[in-house]
Amino acid sequence: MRRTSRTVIVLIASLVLLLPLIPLLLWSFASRWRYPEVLPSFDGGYWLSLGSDTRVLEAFGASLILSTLVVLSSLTLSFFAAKNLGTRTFRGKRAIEIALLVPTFFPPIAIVFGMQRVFVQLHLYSSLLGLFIAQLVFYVPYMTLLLSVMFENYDIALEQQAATLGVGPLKRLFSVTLPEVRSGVIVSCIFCFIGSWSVYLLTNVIAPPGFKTLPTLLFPMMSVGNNSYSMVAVTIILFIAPILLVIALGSNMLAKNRLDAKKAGLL
Amino acid sequence: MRSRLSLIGSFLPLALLMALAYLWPVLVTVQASFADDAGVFVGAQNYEDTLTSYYFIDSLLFSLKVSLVSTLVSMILAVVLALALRETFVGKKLALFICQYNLSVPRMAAAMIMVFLISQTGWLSSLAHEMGIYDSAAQFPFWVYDAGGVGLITVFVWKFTPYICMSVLGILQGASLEYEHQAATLGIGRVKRFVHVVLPSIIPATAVASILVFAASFGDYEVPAILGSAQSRPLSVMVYLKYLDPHLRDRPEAFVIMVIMTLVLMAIIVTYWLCATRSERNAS
Repeated sequence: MRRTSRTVIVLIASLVLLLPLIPLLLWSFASRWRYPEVLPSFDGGYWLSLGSDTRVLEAFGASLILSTLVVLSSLTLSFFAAKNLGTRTFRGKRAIEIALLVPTFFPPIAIVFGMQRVFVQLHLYSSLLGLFIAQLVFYVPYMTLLLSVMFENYDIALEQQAATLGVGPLKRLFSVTLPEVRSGVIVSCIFCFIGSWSVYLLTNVIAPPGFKTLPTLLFPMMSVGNNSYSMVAVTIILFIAPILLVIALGSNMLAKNRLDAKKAGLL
Repeated sequence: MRSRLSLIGSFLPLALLMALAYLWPVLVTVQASFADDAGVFVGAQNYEDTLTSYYFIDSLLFSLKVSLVSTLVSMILAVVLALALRETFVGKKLALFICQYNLSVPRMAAAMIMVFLISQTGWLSSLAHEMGIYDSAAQFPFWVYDAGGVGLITVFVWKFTPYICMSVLGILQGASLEYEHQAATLGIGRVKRFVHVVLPSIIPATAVASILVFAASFGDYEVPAILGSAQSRPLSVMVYLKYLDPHLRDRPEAFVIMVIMTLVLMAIIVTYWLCATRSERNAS
């Protein structure tokens, strides 16, 4: 591609991708902004109320705890399955891989009300445990797929050598396997975290009333009208910031692992 | 024997979770789509009612239109952008970061910030007024909350173009580049190189990413719930409204729509799979 056309394309794309951030930032610092003012009059906006109105920070904390628990539990529940899927060949492997894609591929709206009915029967409906399990249903398979792609490049001989040398299974896991796959595990956790952090529908349907995560707090705020836009903007910034931070911190590992995960068409 | 047991054991938690909290709900959904609101089996009656309803057909076509247009536009823009990004240039690292940052913007947030930007009283409209292009907000194009779905498509394209782009870029910077250099050494021209070398190498990755994007936009509830219009509703919003309608008689229809949404996506996967295996067979 010629240099000028490349520059033009990259510039336009960057501009379009970044443009929506400008009104977002402006709104967060202004409680009022009327058409056709190009700039609002800045009065600190909702940032100043963040301390007194605890709803946003509480939801932030709830989201953080829930998503962290979901990611760590998904990692634990999927690790050995993913390792077997990535390093061994056995009958039915392809079928398992396809089954794992199902919750990621099909929309939550098509399953969430069926889930609600089942959870009512299991006495899990409207409970935090139920919400936790509902999220696991989506993120354990997702994590298994991500990890299994990573394990395809893992050399199982290392572990076997350690075993021959008489290293016990627990020690093998923590001193041989985990250090070897560290970056892939972190990348998989990042993607799971992004997913879990953004879940709205499941939380809205399964969670107990009054329990708010950032998405369930944010969603109804938008319909209140532009009196709430400053609060919406601040909440969105708090919603995006942790993911950006996590991506920035893991960006080296992301670049390294991206190609592998691409093969599975996941990222 | 021991290794076989450990294999089965490693999949046990996963299998249990999926069976209990995914497969069972799927069966409940299918069963409910064949029953009336009291749970009595009515055969295909609900399907007949739904498939002959004008609202349903309208909504199905709207969903298909929005997700198809979003996918195609994102796909084309993504390939163009990936071609622009693949060789090294000054500022490439920054350009790549800009193209990836919106992976961190959840769809719900993307829909909301698009309201700030492109609604009739949004920032672009204010800028247009300042520059003297429009006198009033009403003259600015009606993109958000419009019946044509322009707002929805804008959000999906904004969100998904970088995603497909990164998939394509992964391939373009890998093997494809080497083959292209070889072709160039053999004296094959620019256009021919693109059609015969670059395009075939990126088609599989582009197709997979595009199918995932289609599924994501077809089933998405949040974006249309935030900036969709009351005149044209996609299936996801229809399901939600019908299920939560205080008159429980709409619930069977909600379940029917859930099943149909799933079937549409299944049809797309099967079609893709058939095409992929056929082209593989042709290649070998």
